[in-house]
Amino acid sequence: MAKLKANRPLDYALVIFFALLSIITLYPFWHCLVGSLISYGEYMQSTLLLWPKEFTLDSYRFVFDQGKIFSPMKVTALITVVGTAVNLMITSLMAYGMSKSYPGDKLVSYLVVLTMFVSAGLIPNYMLFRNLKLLNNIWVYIVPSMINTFYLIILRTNFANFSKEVEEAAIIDGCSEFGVFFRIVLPLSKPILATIALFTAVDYWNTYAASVYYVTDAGKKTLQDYLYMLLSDNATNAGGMGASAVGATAGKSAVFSENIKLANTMIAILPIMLVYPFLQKYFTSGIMVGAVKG
Amino acid sequence: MPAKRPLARRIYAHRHIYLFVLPGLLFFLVFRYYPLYFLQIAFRNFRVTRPLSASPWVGFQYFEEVFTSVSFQGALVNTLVLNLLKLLICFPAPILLALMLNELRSPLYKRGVQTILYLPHFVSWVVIASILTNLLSVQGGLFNKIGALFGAEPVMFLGEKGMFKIILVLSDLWKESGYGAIIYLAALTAIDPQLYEAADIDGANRFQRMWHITLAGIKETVVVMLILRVGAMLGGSFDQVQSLINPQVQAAGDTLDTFVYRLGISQNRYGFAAAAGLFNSVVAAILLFLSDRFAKRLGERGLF
Repeated sequence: MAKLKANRPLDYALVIFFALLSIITLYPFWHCLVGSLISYGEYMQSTLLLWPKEFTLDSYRFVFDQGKIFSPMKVTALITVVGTAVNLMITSLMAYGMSKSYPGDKLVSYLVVLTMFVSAGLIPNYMLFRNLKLLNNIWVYIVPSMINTFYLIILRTNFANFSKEVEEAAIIDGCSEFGVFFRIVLPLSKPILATIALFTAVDYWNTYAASVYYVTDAGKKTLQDYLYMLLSDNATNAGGMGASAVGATAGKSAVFSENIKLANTMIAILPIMLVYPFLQKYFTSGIMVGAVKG
Repeated sequence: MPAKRPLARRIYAHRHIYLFVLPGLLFFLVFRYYPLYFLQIAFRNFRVTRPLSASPWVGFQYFEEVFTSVSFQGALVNTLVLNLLKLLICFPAPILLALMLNELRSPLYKRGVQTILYLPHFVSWVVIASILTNLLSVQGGLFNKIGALFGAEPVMFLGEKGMFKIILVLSDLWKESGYGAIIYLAALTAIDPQLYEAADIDGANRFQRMWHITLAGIKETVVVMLILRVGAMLGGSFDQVQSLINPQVQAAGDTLDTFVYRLGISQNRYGFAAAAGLFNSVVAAILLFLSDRFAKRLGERGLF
């Protein structure tokens, strides 16, 4: 790229364009963070929220004192940890099996690929889960999404490219198929497994629709659904009208609700922000490009 | 290849492999194929009080109700219009971003920008809706505060029928454009650098290089993505619509996904909602299948 003909104005324009785009991308998150750390008075007086004039943790104190967020947090943390582990195990087992040739391998491939075109839809799934006693059961977040077909195919391709010689040598040395898988294939596939684990964990943390569809028990709702219920809690979510109407009569805690919602929102994104530096390491490697196609 | 041995022998020889595949296969059979059996609910008058098998058959009654339902027609039109708007506005954005990112000279700056632009993809729609509702609020929302500086009357953005679809499209543009550029950037890495050098020797300028080499190099990817996008014209973004919709904009924002959910699960009209869902699935599957075939016909590798 060094030999590029100089076109200074264009280069500057590009740098400025991307700087602006970055600000537009980041500002809403920054707005949410700052808004959760200031008083309602300061919130109403400021236009752009750039830096807290008077830093306060009141909103977070309110959220944790009230304690309603603990149950959805626990549910979500649990399904993220257990779901990711189960998902990774079942997916990599199947992907390894599918990377081999055996009688019926074509049929299995067709069955898997066909599910990308054919889905029964919400109501039949709902009926099935009803029969399987999965409604109002936190396993409904994990079991029906145990395998992501895209990740399965990515892993299968990865395992298929694995050196046959190494596997055969291990078998000659008396290793079983399972020994080869657990002691050689899995450890050598750590980077791709880590990538898939992180993406899967993010998906589980963001579980929303399944909670809306299949769970009515408040104690089993996910964090995203809890956040949604806060959002639509006012008579309307058409822009905090409810909050202001209530606020006029009910005083502090209701008026305060914008800051509290922002604090709840921050809590819901915090884990994503924490794993994001690890996630972004894998973007350039192109491993996940297949998954983007979805 | 070894000569054909009896099937049973071959299966026995591969018995370990079946153990690897079995749990996953079971998953696909139970959670991806077994639900198809329950599609019959679209043809039966099911009540929660009796099992499905004891519910009387009603033929195509629910489908007739669905197609004559004004709210279904509204949801169908909204879904198509939203997808069309997203195709026009959200589809080209990642391509432009990838082309522009490719022109950045500093690799460090490029990497930093990419890291920032990919972020919103990983945040859930509910979180985005929550922040957006705050920004668009009529009471102290940023947009109305800025408007007030110019003397504008407060606008209830999320309550305006005419604005709801635009908000859906623009928020999707904001959230997914950056991450969508990944696939084009990956395609760019396959372009032979010698082409650029040759272009320099020939005296091509930046735009000529961008047009004749960069864009030409990712053309195939663009075509495949376009065909797949068209194949998903009946698809929806349940999370996005559900978390932003409200009673004032119900008619303008209702999509097939939210319609099926509301009728079927909130109002227990299982048969009716299943019929609407079945129509949606069948048309969506045909569209996807045709577009995949079309992509393969053009010599691309298609979806899989």
